[in-house]
Amino acid sequence: MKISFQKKIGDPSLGILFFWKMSVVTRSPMTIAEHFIPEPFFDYLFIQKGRVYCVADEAEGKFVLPRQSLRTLHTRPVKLSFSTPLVLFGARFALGFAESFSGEIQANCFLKQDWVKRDANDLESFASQVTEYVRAQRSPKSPYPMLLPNFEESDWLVNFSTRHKRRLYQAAFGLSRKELQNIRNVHVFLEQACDFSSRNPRIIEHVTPDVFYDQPHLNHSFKKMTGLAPVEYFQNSSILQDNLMSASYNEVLPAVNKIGV
Amino acid sequence: MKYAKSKNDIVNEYIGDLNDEIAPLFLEIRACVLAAGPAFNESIKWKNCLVYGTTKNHIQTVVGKGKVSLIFFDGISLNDKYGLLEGDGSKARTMRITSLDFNKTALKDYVKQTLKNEK
Repeated sequence: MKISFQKKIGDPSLGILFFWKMSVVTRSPMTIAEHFIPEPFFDYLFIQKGRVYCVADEAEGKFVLPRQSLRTLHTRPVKLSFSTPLVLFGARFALGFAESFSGEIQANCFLKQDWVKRDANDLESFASQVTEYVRAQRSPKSPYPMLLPNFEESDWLVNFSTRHKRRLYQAAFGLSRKELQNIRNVHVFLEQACDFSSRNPRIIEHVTPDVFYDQPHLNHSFKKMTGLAPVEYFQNSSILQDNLMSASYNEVLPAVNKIGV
Repeated sequence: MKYAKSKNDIVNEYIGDLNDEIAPLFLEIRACVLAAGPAFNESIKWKNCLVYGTTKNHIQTVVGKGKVSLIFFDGISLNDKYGLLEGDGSKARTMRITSLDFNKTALKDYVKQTLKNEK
């Protein structure tokens, strides 16, 4: 199996963090499973070749992802499976993107979209079409961004009632502030460079007291959100999400939400 | 720095960002792992660990001060005839490398065994 992953920096003023292209080639057609955990980002997916199946939960069963879709914020893990050969393009968006997205946002779903009209044979062409679409369609839902780059709430919301704020969050992100914070907390832990080899510090050394009171608190939140214990997660292989997360952590997290609305 | 570019842009960026003190050692180890295990795909996981894997993760590279550690996730299954694997956990074993004259034969043997055990 040969995997290639290309990346191109996006346009932060539109909330586009980066574009990517992943190709997977195998000697014979096969299916690769991927355990996708919740992340504080939106992803646009364009399947150029191959198929992507999604197993959301037992009730919904397995379904084929549309050729173009927008992955909204998830509060629970999603199992994806890729059929090879696979060529997948994508764009990763900051949370702030949702505040200027013209359509309705619901959590835990893949919204069918049609942003790429012409054949996208390379990353450049895909990126230009997505940028063009996002620029043309953006329509801010509020006068200023709701969240600051450090994930704190903007000052302009200070006098809003709890109920009003809950509605604003739900309308913009499809989730409550608390659910967003829970996702963020798990990623504060994952952003660290953890080394679980023998004779090295164990998980307890990586628990951030400001976020998780102690290790059981971390384990509980982590398992609830990802479906795996921290150590299980660290040994779990992922061909797509690992790359997306690395790119997000290493480059774009400080820029999250820095969008000119 | 001259090295065989990865098919993964993020890996290339990661290597480009390594500091000059550790980069030669890191690249020598990477070349050795990829020579013994051409089937491996490289990716960066958990912010700054290079991981070699096929359909599952097998080896994690952790860069420390003046050393590079290779964590074999299923190290318990390796026949350690060189005695270079550390650890007493239930699964993982670690090979710590501190200088450029490390035992390349041993590393290649561990990598080949890792791939063989997967089948």
